[in-house]
Amino acid sequence: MLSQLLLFLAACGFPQAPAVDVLAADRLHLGDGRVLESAVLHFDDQGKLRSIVEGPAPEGALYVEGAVLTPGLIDAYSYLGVGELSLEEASEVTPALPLSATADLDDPGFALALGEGVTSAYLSPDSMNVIGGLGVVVKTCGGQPADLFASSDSAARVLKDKAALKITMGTETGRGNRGPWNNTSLFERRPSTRMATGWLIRREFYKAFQYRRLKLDGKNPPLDADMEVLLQAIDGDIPIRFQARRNHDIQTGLRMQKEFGWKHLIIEEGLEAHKAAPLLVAAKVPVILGPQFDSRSRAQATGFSLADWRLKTNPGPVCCEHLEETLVGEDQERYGHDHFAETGVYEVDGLALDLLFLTLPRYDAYFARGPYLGRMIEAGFGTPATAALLARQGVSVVLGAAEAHDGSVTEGSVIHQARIAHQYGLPAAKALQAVTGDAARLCGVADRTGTLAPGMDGDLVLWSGPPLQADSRPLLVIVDGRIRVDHRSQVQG
Amino acid sequence: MFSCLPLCLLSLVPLAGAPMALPVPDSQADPAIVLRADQVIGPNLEVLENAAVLIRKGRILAVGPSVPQLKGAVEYRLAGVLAPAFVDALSAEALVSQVREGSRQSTPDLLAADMVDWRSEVSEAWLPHGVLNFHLSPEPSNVMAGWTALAQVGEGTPAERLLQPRGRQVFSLLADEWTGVGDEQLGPTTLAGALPLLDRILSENPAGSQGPVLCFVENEQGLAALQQHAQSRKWDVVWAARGDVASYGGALRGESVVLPALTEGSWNLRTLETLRLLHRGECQIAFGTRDAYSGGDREALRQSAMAFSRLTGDSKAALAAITTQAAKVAGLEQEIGRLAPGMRADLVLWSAHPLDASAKLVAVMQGGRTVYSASHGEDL
Repeated sequence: MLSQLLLFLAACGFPQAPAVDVLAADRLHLGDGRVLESAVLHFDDQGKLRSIVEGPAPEGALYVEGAVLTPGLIDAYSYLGVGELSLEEASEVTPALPLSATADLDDPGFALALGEGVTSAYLSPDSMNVIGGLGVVVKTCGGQPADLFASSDSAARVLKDKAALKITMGTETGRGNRGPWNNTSLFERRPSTRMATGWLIRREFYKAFQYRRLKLDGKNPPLDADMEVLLQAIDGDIPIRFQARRNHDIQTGLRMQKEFGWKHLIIEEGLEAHKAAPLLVAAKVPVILGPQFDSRSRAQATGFSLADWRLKTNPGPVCCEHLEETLVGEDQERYGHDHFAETGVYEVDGLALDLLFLTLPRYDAYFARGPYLGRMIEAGFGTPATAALLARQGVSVVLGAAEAHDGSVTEGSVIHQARIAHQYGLPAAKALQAVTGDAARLCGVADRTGTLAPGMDGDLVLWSGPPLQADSRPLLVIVDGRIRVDHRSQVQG
Repeated sequence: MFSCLPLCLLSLVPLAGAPMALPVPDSQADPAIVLRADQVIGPNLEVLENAAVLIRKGRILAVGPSVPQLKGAVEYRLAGVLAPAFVDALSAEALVSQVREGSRQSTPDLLAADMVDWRSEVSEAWLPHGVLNFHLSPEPSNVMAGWTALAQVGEGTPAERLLQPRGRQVFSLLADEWTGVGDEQLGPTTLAGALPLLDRILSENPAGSQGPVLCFVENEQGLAALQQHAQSRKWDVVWAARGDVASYGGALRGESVVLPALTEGSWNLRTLETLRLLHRGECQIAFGTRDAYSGGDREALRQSAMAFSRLTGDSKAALAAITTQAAKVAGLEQEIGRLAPGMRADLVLWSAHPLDASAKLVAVMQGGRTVYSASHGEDL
């Protein structure tokens, strides 16, 4: 009811988000590992940071005692707004498809992410295609929504288009595919093994080199958008994000880098990257980790998967059906259905089981199905200590939250990923950098956001306590110098 | 219900004093007629009290409280309201079923006019509801689907009833339709794949890339892509809005839009509020029965306009949605959809204003000939 009222108010035109002039905090993380005590920030009228000075809060400054300021968080690996429109299955190689053209920037997930302090996010093309297309970096608010009922600047907006090229190695690209002796429909002619996935990647890059050769020889081949993108990727003008969870997939990526001279390679979702750490250090390849904890598949914690859920909730025939035959009347009511007492699990079946799935992924999240399913299959090989292990061995590591904001449960958002990484050994400063400054650099937007310095966008989060502490919550989320989320009354009572 | 009082007005007054310059009737064999009704819906959809429509050779020569008195003209006195016949801005009703061409992704040369079903049953079904004109589209299954047509029900040969063989070039970014195409090994399967295809098709079809154009869209992403093309190519574009229009209607501000008519099953708060907000966003709205949830509901057009009128208080825009604006969608705003000099004499006599719930249809005139009379009336 309240949300409907808010929607109504939104349709009537909210006043613009309030701008901040002077902001003070007792502790300030700059996003590059440095920390200031008692800092004062001034904003210019463009919403950029004008100055940062140490000192007590001046009169009239926006200030909450004991609160801690960080740069706005950057989710360096997300599927926000990536829905059914964005996965083209007529071909498994679609390098030139820009996600910016089909991502849903009105997705309510952006508001959820913003509420968790995420001010920018890299949106990744789906992982079902071998070469999936071009990702995009967005700010999570400030865009003009197309929705008739949305408030005027609630949508996400593009910060950097064509930010990286997605290549997927692993189980997703082969999932559900069959050999050609069966029906060769449009949806069933993908590679069915890792070998074929690798071969497809290689074939496309061989074609790219041939294309370049024709151009260099003055043969003027017809313009091929896909090949142009691959050439830019080879040269490093567009980074290659190589999704590889297993150690052998990561090594495949590193071999291909040598074969094709990829100038700018990033390993995405490097679940087992710690096993390849020396190679990654030698090749100076950074790693983005997928979620340590995923509110749906809880992948790396090896908790319940969807299949587990089915098993737990509908365990099949048990020993004691005969009880119903022998017990009558009150006794049957009392004992006949006490499934829980017998087995220790609640029986959920029929309609209840169907309803249970309504609590699982949202419709559009379901269609961004590659990474979620693939991670479930490969989850058993991971450890939540991967980030710490990588950092200890000198690999640059950044954290992403993937589908954390596809549902209303946002326990997988990046700040929680940073907390878990810290809990399993990643130093606090590194954990924060992995979701701020380092994430911005890896996404190619370090000149705009991720760290706090004069001239940078005024993207900040004011936390109720130390940001990596479990009970700290965002009090204020500020984007481009405007307060977008204000939780002060809820958090402080 | 209405009275026929033919009055021979043998005018001896020279035409110089007439309100409009009009051709003098040249032959007694084709006399002009004057229909004078209690009310006439005028050229700007305004209500004219005790006004007349002057008709000759199937065309309207004048509309107004007083019309030129032509030699030999016969005047009829009618009880009720004379309104333009309705235009279904987008329809599949009068087409035969084979409208999906699945062998290609791009079929720019298909003509919906080639698929029209001219059977009289179709006419008999629609005339009692005042709907005479149908803007027909090929199935929007292909990214570039072909050309729309405008055909009439009623009487006459197919050649007489096909008013517009090439209306608008149809583009479509409806994902559901491609799934069908995909099964036939063509693709694309999603918008992501359709957009590059659209770019390629447009670059390969320079002739087809000039307006007028009708675009089927169902989301903001597809709309944004086609809007870019429309802008750069200066298309005269109409949007056939499908899916959850509210989710992208904010980007339709000021555009010309065809919405599926409201029929039983499609009425809910969200559709109505969407309609209201689109009107507030200065969209020019027309209704079509195509993709309305129950296509058999032949009152849908009038009821949609009534709902529109009630929601917005703008009865002219509401009536326009099934007359003038719908005619514009078909590219025939100079022929049909309003009672004005030069237009076809396609009119409907109602017992009250057509957006009045109590109004009953009395008779339909097509090209100056009465083609339908309700049983509660007499021949015009």
